[in-house]
Amino acid sequence: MNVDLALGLVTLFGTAAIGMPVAYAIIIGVLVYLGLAGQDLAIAGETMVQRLFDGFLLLAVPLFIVSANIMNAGSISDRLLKFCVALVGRFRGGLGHVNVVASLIFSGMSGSAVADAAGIGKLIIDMMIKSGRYSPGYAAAITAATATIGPIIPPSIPLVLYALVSDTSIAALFLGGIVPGLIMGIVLMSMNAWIAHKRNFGKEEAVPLMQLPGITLNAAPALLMPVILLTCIYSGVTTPTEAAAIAALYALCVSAFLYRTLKFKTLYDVFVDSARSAASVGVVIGASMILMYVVIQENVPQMISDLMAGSDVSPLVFLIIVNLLVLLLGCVLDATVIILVIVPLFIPTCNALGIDLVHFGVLIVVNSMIGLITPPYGILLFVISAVSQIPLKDMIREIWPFLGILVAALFVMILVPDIVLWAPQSLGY
Amino acid sequence: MLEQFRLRLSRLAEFSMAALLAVIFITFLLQIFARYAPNLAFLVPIERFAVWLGGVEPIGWTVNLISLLWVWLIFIGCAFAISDKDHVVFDVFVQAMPPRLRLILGAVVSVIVVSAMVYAFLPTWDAVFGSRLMELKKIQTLRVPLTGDKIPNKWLFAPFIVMMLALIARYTFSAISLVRQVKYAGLLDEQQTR
Repeated sequence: MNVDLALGLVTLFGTAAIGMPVAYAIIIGVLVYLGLAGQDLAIAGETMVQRLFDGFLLLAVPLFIVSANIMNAGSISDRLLKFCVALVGRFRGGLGHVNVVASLIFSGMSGSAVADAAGIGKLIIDMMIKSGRYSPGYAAAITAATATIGPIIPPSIPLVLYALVSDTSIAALFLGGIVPGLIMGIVLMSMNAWIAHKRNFGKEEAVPLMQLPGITLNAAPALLMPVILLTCIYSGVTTPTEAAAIAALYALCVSAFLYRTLKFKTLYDVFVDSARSAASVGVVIGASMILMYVVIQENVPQMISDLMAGSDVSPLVFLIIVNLLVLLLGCVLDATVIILVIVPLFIPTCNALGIDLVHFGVLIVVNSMIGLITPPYGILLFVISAVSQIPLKDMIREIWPFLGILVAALFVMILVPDIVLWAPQSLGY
Repeated sequence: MLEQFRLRLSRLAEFSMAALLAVIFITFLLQIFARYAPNLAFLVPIERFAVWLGGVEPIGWTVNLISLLWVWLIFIGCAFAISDKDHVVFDVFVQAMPPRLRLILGAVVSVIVVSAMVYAFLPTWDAVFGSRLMELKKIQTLRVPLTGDKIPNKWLFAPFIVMMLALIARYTFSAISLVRQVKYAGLLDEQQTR
């Protein structure tokens, strides 16, 4: 690595550390590099616009944000919760199980963990606290833990970003996320059951089984959404990006015409909010792309690959090292930044070591989602604390068992690639 | 006065962003519809409508239009509607600092953003409006929907210039206001020690 690049990176990390928005810090770091290397400063802006314009796949991001926000604004989340309570509320620690199942289903509609936490997560925290059987800290912690499933089960914004930087099929990645997402749900439910047993949480009044069909029917339009989305993608009727538009249209129709809960003012707010988050994600994506341009120009990924190949690392050891690194970075960095900036550095090494890029991608996304709930910097912890007014320290005290079991699940996924690869391979990807 | 102007500007920007996103969304639906309309024609019982559906052709310009609007959405958003707290910010260290130091660092950040944008402004302006773009041949020709007129490439890159200008203005104001607050906080400290 030469001096120009090193100084550029120092500028990047230095300015980001004193609170500059990450996107601007990257742009300024790149400008410093270009200036020192005597290159044209216009390359920064030009490359950024150019890459954003070319990255058509990225347009799934704002559309997934729109559909999740519509789901949250309408009464779809309420109906889903009723369904989950009827289904699993009867067991000990019932509302904890409801939390997991609701996240599993909701994750089939939204591609963002933050949307899960802020929408359905807030409703369920209120429910858990009102029942009087759970401490606010526990309610918030399990909600944060289950929200990490959101982007593992398709649709998924982080997987779209990974597909973009690694040039992997988004359809294969989406399929690869299904089984790991279910496993995360199962381990979280087991942990909840164990804690419920240990602390002797009371049982909820069971919803009579007779009412189950009615409640299911009521929630059916919401339950259908993931089915529609996946059918669109895998039948080849639409591209994944177009499927995102169909999903948003479906959410819009269901809440406007079927449930009749969406007013024009709410819709306007949904679009403003979605546009705002799309733009703030978009600028980070664009900035990461100019950084990649520079890093590739300086041949850094290839150097890492040569280094790894030269030191005779086995694929498994490499996967474990990278995952430990991402787990550590996840404590302090945002998932978007990890996927867009850190992960591309390792793609050539994966190719050289014969690691399947779908396996690698799902592992990294699971890992960086775990990073969203690792203190001190975990965006999910902040969001949930902000929407539920539960102090961060109460939440952090209760998060450790869930964090531990998710990391254990990640480790199993590293050791057994088939957990990820079974679904895409059996469908011919 | 100035505050009110800024509020109006950000309302207007919010409206434009929502509108851009809505147009992107509708264009996507139009693109899918146009591709499948002929296959759906047989489902429609009204003959004239069915004939019209059968004659719909796939649209080519949607992909470029969507990408163009997406670029505008991002940079206009960053220029006018997205404040520092909406951005992805790494603030673990900053949050742990005493308030006065935080203000000073805020001012330093503002000054750095302004100087970097000023530094890169002329070359970027020249590249965009002086047709000095390097990878021009890689960009597909943009066309106005329906009429098919060519849209000059500078309009694809222009929002980046808009963002640079807006950032220079915004962070200059924020630097000035932060420096004032630092001074004020300093005065308070002095009074307390007396």
